[in-house]
Amino acid sequence: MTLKKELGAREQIAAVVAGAIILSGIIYWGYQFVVMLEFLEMAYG
Amino acid sequence: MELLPFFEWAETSFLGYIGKTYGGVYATFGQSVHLMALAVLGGSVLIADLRLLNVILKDVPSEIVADQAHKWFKVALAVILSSGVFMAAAVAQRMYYNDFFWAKMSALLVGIIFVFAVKRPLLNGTHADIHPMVIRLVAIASILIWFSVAATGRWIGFSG
Repeated sequence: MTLKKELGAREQIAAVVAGAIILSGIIYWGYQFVVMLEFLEMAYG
Repeated sequence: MELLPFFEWAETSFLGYIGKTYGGVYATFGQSVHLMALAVLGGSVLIADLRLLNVILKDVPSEIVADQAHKWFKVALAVILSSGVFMAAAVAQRMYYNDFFWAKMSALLVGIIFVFAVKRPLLNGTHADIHPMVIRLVAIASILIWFSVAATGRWIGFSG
């Protein structure tokens, strides 16, 4: 039995939404981190 | 929809006038209450989510921890929203042009929808019936989103 078949509707929705939030968070904060590094490089070389 | 007229109105409203004119009222009823409510909200989120991740309070059923934490979460959220509206009204036009204000509002909206439409309905029953991986995903997403609300909120103060 696959994981998807084991999960109920609420669990599937929660897993998809939580996964999307985690992915978005990683992209957003990753981007902010890269921008910060660029600023530091401009300021201090 | 153009939101700038609303922000201009907010700054000239009674709340905006009070916050702008009386620094003491802004600092006590605005910032202090807002920060204390943030601490309560952050605490309730961390206690519930770290219990769901099986890190703390392992001897207490996670249903009890999550239910109790959610009660305080709702109180803290109500205080945060009301004190936040008061604080934002005083500097509404500056907030309108601040990217981190909008980042915080977006994270806050996603967080509220996530808690009341996804997390609570999922955790309402017995947690043993829920797949452990789903519980972990929800707990990590919850911590991440409220961290983002807090971090972008503090960032407002350091930008513009």
